[in-house]
Amino acid sequence: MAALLEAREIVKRYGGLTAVNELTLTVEPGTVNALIGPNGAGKSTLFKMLSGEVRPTSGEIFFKGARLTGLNATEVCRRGISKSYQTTQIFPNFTVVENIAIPALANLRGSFRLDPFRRMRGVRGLADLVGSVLHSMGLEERAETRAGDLAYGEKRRLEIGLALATRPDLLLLDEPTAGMSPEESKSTVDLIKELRKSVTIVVVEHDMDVVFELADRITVMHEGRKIAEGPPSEIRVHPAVREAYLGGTL
Amino acid sequence: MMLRAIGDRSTWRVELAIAVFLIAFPWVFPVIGGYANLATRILILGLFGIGMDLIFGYTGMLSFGQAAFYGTGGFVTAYLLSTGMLHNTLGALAAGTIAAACCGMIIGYLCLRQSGVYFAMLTLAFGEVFYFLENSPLAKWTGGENGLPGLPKPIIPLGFTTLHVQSNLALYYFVAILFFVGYWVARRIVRSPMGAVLRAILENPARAAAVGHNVPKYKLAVFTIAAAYAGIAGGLLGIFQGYMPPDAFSIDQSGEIIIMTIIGGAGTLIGPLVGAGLWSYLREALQNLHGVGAFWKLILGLLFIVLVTLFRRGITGGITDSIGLFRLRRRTAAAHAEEAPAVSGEAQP
Repeated sequence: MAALLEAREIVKRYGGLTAVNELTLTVEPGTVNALIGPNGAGKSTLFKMLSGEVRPTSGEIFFKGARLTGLNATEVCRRGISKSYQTTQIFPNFTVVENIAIPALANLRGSFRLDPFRRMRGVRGLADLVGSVLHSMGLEERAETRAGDLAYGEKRRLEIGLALATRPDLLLLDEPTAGMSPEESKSTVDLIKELRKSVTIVVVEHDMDVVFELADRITVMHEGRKIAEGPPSEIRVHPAVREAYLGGTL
Repeated sequence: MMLRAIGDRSTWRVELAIAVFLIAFPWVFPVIGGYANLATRILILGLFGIGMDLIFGYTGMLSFGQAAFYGTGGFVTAYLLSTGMLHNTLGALAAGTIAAACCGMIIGYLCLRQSGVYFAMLTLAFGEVFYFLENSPLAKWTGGENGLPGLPKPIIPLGFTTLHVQSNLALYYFVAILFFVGYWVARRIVRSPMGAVLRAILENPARAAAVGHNVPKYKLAVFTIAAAYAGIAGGLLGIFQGYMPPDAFSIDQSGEIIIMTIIGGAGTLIGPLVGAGLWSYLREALQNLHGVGAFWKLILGLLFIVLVTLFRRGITGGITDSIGLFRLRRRTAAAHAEEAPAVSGEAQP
C-alpha cells in the first residue's frame, strides 16, 4: 500500500541548533500515528514542517505521492493536511458556527474567490458541512455561543473542529488533551476514535495512556532524531525508549 | 436553521433606515444649524470612510495612506471634467474610481509584503509620495498647489433626457444616491462569504491562512476596494466644490478619515458617516461660536479622547451594543418569567 505521507530525511536547523535531524517518517492511510518524546525532542518542529508553517532546511516531504516541500500552510491545507494547534487558535469573537464556517468556506470555495455579492446561503454544501462537524464535535448545543465564552474543553474540541472542517485526508493533532481534566481527556480520546474511521491521524501527545490507547504506530523522538518506531507493544518494551524517555516508569 | 446562525438574516430594515435618513437629513439638519452643503460634505467623507472601515474595521489593516486614493480619484475626475474631455459626470467619476482602484492594487501589492506597523508605515510613505507627485512632477495636469478649478455642475445623460444637477439640495441628493449604493454594496460585501473570510483575517490571520484561505490575496482585494471607495469620494469632492483641492492628498486627510472611522465606530460601515458628521458639524459650530472659535481643535481633541475612552467600538458600536444588551435583558427576563413555573420541580445541573 502506498504511504499517505512520507518525510525523507528532513532536517531543521535554527542557527546552531538542530531541532530535527534527518528524520524519516511514513504514515499509512487509515492509521493513527503517535509522535512522542521528551520536551525539546523536535515534535512540534516536525509538525510545523508537515503543516507547511516551517520550511525544512533539507530533505523532502511527499503527500499522496506529490512533493509538499516548500509549500506554505495555506497550500498544504489545500492539499489535504490540516493541523489542530496545541495552543487554541480559534476566532474568539465569532460564534461556534461561524468558527466552523471559516474552514468550511475554504474547503467549498477554494483558497481565494472574489464573491462579494454572494450570500452565505448561496455557498452550496456549507450548512451540511458545518452541521456535520458540529455534530462530530458535540458542539451543536453551543452553536450560537461566542467561541471566546466556551469552557476550556469545548474550546479544545472547537480547535479540532476547525481542522476537521477543511475535510483533510491527514489530521495533525498537537497535544489534543493538553490541560484537560481526566473526564475531558477521555471524551477527547473517544472523539479521536470516531474520527479515525474517516481520516488518517498523526498525534503528538504527552499522556502515555492516551498514546497507547489510540496509536497503531508510535514514533519516538529524542534530541531531534527518531530513536524508535513500531506498534505500541514493541515501543512499551523498547530498551532505548525506556532509557531516553520513559525513564523506566512503565 | 444553521445558515441563519452563520449570519444570513434578512436585513432590509437597516438599508431602509439609512435611506430614510438620507432623504430626511438635509431637512432636519438645519434645526441644529446645519445646511445642505455641510450634509453633502459629510456624506462624501462617509463614503470615503466606508472603504477605510472595510480594510480597518473588518480586516484589521491600518492604512495611513488613504488620501493617496482620495486624491487620485479626485484629480482624475477633475481633470477629465475641467478640461472638457468628458462631459458625462458619472463617466468621469467611474474613470477616477478605476484609476484610484488601480493605484490601490499596485500600492497594496507593494505594502502588503509587510503587516502591522510596517504595513502602516509603508502606506504612510506612499501617501507622501503621491502628495509630492501631485504637487511637483504632475503639476502640469493637477495644477500643483493651486489644484484644479472650473469643474462644471454634474451633467448626467440618461438616454431619454439629461439631468443637470444645479441646486445645493440636488447636489446633496446626487451624492446621497451614490452614498446609498456604496453603502449597500459594502453591506453585501461584509455579509458575503468573502466578508466572512475578511473578518476571520481580522480575528486570527494565521489561522485563517492555515485553514486554507489565501490571506494576502484577500487583503489585496479589500485594499483595492477601499481605494475605489476613496476614489469615488475624491471625485465627488471635486464635483461638489467645483474645484479639486490639492490637500485631498495630504497626510492630514489620511489621519482625519482614520479618526472619523474610529470615533464613529469601526466595523459598522455607518460609523465613519457618524464620525464625519460629528467632526464636520462640531468644527463648523465651534468655529462660529464667539470667543471659542480659536480653540476648536483643542475642544474637538478633548471630546474625541473622551469618546474613545468611553466607547471602545465608537459611537455606533456603543449604541448597537446598548441595544443588544437591552434586548438580551428583555429576552432573559421574558425567558425567566416563562420558565419559572416549569423548572420549579426539576434539579438543575
